[in-house]
Amino acid sequence: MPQNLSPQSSLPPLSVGNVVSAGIRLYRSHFKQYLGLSFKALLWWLIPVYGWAKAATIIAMISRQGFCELINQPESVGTTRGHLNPKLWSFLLTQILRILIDIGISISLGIVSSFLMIIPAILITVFVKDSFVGISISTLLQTLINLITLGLQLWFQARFFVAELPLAIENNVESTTTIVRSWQLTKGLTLKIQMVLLVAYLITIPLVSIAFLPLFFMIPLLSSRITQDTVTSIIVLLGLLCLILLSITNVLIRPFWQAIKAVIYYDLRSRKEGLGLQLRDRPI
Amino acid sequence: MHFFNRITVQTPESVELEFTLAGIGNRALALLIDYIVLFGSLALFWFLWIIFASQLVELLSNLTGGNSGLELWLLAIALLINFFIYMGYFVFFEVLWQGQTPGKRYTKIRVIRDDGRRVSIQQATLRSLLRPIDDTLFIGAFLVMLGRQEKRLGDMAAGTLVIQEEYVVATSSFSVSEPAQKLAQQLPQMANISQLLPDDFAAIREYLQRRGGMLPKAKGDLSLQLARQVRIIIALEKLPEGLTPDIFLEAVYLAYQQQSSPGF
Repeated sequence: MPQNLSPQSSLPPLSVGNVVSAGIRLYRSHFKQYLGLSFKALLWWLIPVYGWAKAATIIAMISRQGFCELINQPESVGTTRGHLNPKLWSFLLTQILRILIDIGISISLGIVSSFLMIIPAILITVFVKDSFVGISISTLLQTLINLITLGLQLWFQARFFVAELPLAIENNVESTTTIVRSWQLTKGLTLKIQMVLLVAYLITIPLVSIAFLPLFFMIPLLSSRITQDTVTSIIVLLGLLCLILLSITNVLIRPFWQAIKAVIYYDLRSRKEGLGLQLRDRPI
Repeated sequence: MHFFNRITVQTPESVELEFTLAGIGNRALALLIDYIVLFGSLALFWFLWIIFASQLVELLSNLTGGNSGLELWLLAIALLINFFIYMGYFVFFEVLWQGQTPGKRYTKIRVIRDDGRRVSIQQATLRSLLRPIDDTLFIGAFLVMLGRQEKRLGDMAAGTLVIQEEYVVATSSFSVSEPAQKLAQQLPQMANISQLLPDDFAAIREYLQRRGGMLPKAKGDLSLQLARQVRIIIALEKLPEGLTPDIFLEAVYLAYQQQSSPGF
């Protein structure tokens, strides 16, 4: 049964900070539900192929649930599952395509940036006599190139950010067309989405740094005088602890990202297609 | 789902004001911008100080021959000035711009007191002094994300809130085409414009304002749908020839405006 999701009223376009705040509020309002879904996705992810597809579908469920909340037409989890389960393999395909796109972008950006970094280094060592000035200028240029590369990666991430949402929310969308739709919807508003991504990453830093704490305890060990075997076993234990903490933080943070995707998708459709812009409730 | 966290404040004159709290996103972005500006200024300060200090040390060692402890003194003074610049940046701007720093100005949020009054230098200083704890240990971020009034440690100590500035509905910035103006003259005779409610007018206005940013196909669909609905509302039977939905909606917009402000 095709369902035409459209909200009762429209809100004005959201600013960058408000998108992130709305994402947090959305996540907090259904914390247990989204967290439960995220945990299930983690468990499914341990099973190859079929589990990966299931995990991708469950994660998309979180976004669809979030979007339905935003347009004031909440759906039960069962209904959402009913809508999304038939497209199980499409979600896996979309995720594989996205990973391939990401790898392609990283490789090409890596090649271009290394190429760009070599040229000034050569020029400077040839032309500039004073080594101190030369080193500082080349470090500055390298930092600049690194920042530009990061910016470009963020740009591409923004363009493909809502890749699986059209597949989850709209009708008549396939694995490839959903990615094209994400590209289409984000056109012209990429800078705003990049800033949203930046702020969202900033907010997740506290949680992620807690996960990396065990690594800090490793540092004094490396220079101590305990026997080699004890040191290696402690390092392995701390590494395992770090891995467990990272998985926990991943489960906690994933719904946050899906909520942000839902808010951005809502905002994009509101701006680009006037979602919710209508006169009263008149049927045609 | 309520997008915005609203809070009601009672002023000393017993007036109730309602504000929207800033939210973690705006505050994080404002802090990022502030830190970029601040570290830029600090980097500049250190750069100039190092030049000044190395010259001074050279000069004095030439004059006196012994400069034990001078470098330490210079470092101590530099660190003190560093601290004052770090604190002073926030205090200075929050007092001067009535609760806004450059970052807060960009994200359109403002610091106010719990009772709605402007912040004075005491509140700004208290907030600033607790900032190192709030920012380095991320306690502030957690408190803002999870608290009801979104207060970090500095806000709790100083009794302040951070709110969003309410935006003013902008005057319409779209242009109405020629054919629409002509049609607007004829519409009151052809149809019953007074059937249109203010809400409908607002929706039409919103569409006309936002159509510039819409995808062409969606814009076409939406304008057609709106035009059909408007036509039913104002009971227009015969449509003039060569009419696009956009022109029709512009004409209705103009006609409604003229009808509700006669004599212009």
